[in-house]
Amino acid sequence: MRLACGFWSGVAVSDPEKAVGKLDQVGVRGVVMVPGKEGWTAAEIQRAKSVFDANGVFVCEVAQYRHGYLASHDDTQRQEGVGAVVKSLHDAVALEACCVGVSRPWGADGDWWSEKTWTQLCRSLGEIARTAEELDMPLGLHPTNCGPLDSPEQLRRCVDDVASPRVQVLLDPVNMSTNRTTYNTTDFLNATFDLLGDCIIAAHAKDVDIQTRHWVLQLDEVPIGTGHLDYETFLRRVDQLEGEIILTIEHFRDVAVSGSTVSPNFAYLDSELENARARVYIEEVAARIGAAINCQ
Amino acid sequence: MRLAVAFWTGVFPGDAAGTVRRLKEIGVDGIGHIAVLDGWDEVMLRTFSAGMEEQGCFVGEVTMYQFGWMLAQSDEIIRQEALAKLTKGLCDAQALKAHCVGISTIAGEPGAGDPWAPEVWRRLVDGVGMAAAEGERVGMTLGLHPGNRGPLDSPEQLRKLLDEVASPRLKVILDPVNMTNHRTVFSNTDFLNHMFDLLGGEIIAAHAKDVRFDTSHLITRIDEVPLGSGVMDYETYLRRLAELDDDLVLCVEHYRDVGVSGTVASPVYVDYGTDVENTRARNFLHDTAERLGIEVT
Repeated sequence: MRLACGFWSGVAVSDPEKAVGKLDQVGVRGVVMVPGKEGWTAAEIQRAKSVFDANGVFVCEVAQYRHGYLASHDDTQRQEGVGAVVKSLHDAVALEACCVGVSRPWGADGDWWSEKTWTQLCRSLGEIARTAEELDMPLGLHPTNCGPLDSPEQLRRCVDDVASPRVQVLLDPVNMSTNRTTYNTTDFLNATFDLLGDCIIAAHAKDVDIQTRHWVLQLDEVPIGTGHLDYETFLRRVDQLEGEIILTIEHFRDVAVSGSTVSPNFAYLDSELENARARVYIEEVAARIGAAINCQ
Repeated sequence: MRLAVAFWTGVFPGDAAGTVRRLKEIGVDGIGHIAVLDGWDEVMLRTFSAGMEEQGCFVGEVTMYQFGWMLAQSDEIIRQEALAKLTKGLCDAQALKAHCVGISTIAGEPGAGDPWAPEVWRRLVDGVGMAAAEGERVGMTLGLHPGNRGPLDSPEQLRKLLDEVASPRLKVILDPVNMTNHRTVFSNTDFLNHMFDLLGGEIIAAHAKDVRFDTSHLITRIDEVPLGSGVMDYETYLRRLAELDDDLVLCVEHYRDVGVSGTVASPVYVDYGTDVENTRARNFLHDTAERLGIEVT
């Protein structure tokens, strides 16, 4: 597997040198890029690509996580979403990226598990798949709890229903965690890989904890290795997949260093300390179980 | 249905008068929870019960949530200890003329085995079966209270345990908020109707809380919030409860993990010594019930 990193402070396409510097600090060469609705211009892509190439950097994922709306019941909004993802596919080709990720917001205003929503989602993905196949660029379905793709079973169903060789899975076990899976991540991981193994093109590296002082369910993201995700099983199963899977270090919590910008309490401390620690942790676990890690 | 309120600061054995005073100020007759484990002897129990009864008040649950999970443990000593405590709790509840004894399944931190493993379930069925048999012997009902950190985390799991134990003294203390997950939080009305369809007449008590989903996170974060300010469909909830036995106790429980009337389980719990929120919750329930033409006493 090949390691990469997602920076939640963002990677400005106008300043690829900064991203290179951050990757140097972390010790990996793969980076996630998050486009706006209109994507990037050819000039922006060309400049970023030349800087990345000169520094041995690759784009592991073009993450279209902001403007998808692929399950929207409003066809105008849905078509805009399809357009945004199609543009991301073209941008990804120009950047020689490994895949385009799609995720929330799906649209549908919380009506995420109805047949109508499912039909809209598959319809959108079917339209996008034609471009993905033409461009030979994988589209990675990224799960979250705020949308129809909230479990391994739903991902499998979607891959089967859309039935395109270029609509695959961007595995994120933490985002699919429930009260039950958090108590038994080993079985959860094995069941997930058994179900999706043939269509996983990349994975996100995070960790999860459950707050046991509440009566209601509160899960937390925590730094890799400090939670309950069985990293030996995770890395072993990723290592057993066909081809070189990209494993992207994502984020560690909702607050503070490298935390997600989604949080209203996000504070950017301009340090890659935690990303670097995560990379070292993954390398240590991989060495222990004999899994190959490529940081180049 | 009968309305009760839980005091998370506790209820003191020698202070039936103080408990009654608070209840009357809030405008309900029932104390929702009593934990009698520490220092309640036979005389205290009967004195407290008499003090409540004199003022037309009643006791809802004798709360023994921690012992449900102990019944599912592999260590026989722990299981026997739980059974002994529950046997005493059932007798104490009789002395208090309580409505039921509540048990739950609350596992600790992950890492000590899978709470949903088949062998855990088998031990739970055996243990609850023995406790329910004690309930039959002393004439006191055992109420299953759901929670997300153990096998009783859904209406289906409650139904399964009821069916497998099959005791007339094993019933359900319904707590929809505790069974809420990222899916059901978006379809609360359907979720409520589903659980009432599945559990119906087995429900002898229910907890009144509310819930909201924090969508600013990529992982599941569900919050308790004051009644009426979350996504709980209280019209459906009260309507379905009203279709059950008149003796059913609906207990106003808590509102959040921090602040006024928040649960003491939180390390940042603060007791402000006021029943403002309990009173507001009671009024919210009465207003909703009145709108529906439902009688709440």
